[in-house]
Amino acid sequence: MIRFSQVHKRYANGFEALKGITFHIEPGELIMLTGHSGAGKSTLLKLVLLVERATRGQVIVNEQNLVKLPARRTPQHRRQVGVVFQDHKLLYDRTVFDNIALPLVVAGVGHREIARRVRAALDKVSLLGKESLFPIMLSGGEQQRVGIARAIANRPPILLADEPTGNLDPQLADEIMDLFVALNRHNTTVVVATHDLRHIERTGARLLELQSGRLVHDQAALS
Amino acid sequence: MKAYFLRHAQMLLFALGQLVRQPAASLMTLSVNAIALALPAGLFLLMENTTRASAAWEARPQISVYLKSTVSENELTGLSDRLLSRADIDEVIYVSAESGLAEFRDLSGFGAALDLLDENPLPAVLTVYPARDATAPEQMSALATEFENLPNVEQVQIDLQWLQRLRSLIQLAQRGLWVVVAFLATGLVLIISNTIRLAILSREDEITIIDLIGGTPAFIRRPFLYSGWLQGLLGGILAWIFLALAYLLLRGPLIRLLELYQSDLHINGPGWRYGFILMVVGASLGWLASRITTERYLRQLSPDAEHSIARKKF
Repeated sequence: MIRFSQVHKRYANGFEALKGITFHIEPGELIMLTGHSGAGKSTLLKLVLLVERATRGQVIVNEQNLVKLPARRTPQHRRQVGVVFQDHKLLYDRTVFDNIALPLVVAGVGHREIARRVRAALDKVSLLGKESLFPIMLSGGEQQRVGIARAIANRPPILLADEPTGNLDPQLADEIMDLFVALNRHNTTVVVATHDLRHIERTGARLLELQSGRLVHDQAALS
Repeated sequence: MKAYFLRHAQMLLFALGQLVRQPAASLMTLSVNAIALALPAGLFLLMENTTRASAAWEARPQISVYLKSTVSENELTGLSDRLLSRADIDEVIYVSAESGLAEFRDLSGFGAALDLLDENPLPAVLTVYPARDATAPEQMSALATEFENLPNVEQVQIDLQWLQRLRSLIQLAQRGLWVVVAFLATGLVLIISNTIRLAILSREDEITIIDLIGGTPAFIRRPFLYSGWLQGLLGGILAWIFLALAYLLLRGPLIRLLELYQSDLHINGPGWRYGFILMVVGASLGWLASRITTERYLRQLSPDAEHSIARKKF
């Protein structure tokens, strides 16, 4: 599903964020991506989402070589990849419903279908009945679940999460992490960037560890 | 397809809603737009009326041949026939001294002063209209020199110069008008660009998110294009209202002035045609302005951009 081979990423300021990364993620896998801040976790996710392009090497996502994908095809690619952010990135002047509907509106989904899929996504994150509230009226954990609902509303085959539990207390963090595990069981390839080692033990997921831009550890899932 | 139109209608309503939410600020921006549109439109209106008026004055090029007072009826007919028989002369009109005086009395308003004179001070005149292909300034002056050497001719005058001057003056004014139009159109584009730029900055978070979840540049651009288009259109309508107000204020005094000159010219106001053109031009410039601004901004969202906005937000 996601294949990196000899991927280098050097930023315009000369900083080398990734150095010779090679790995392969199968469809339906759950991945924990760890490493200290600055190790290159975010850069790796950005390459998968095509926010950045690799300087060298091949990035193949969903059978598409992103190195060669023209910029105008970026939106179509991103619709295949749901993203959850550490700071949720919700629109605070819009209701929960409108926030979750955004990727569907963007993709040109019809009105009735939008309502159906938003409710399905809300159901998955256990927030049914809160669609007409504004994000500010929700707790941090609930806001993050709205962020997850938005990421899965369009049913993307790949789900990325960048430190999704960074701002939550341990109990809420566990709930969110369980949610990712549950989504993974529904055949979604899930990559979670986190520096919280607890999650790796709890979920028993495959581990990819980055250190200063190099892949230093690729530990198979405990099954 | 229905969903597509529905979405566009929503965008239009959204853009309108944004304007209505800040009525004072919107009215000020729209007024600036309107003034930038109304000024050149007003000048066009002025130009149109002046050109029409000058066309009414504009006779065929003519040469006035003033005859000596001693000329006899026979000599006159002979001269007139001789001129008429030439290929480079179209028409010769004889104005006798008496009818010349009557006309002068009518038009000049010096009737009472003329009554004091013992005899008619005006000479008889032959007004000569050269053929169409003989109206070039050199040909006209050659004819004039020829006429001056004829017997019984006192003086020859070409009534051409002032017309040429008027014509080149109008041409200059027209050229100047286009320069003003170019400046003000650029100004309008810059004004709308700036409001669009501020709107983009205030919604940067939203744009970033839409970009990250797969919104196309067209989707991101659409509300801003509607906003720019709408600002231009409303500016155009307001410009028309301004122009109509200015016209209504000036029309009365202008008509009185024309009456004093005994002119039966009537003035053209800013009619529907002006309204239509102002709206079309305003909307087009507004659309263009926001197209340019959004294009510049959206380029930064590309994964190949040097400084991506999305990358610093994620």
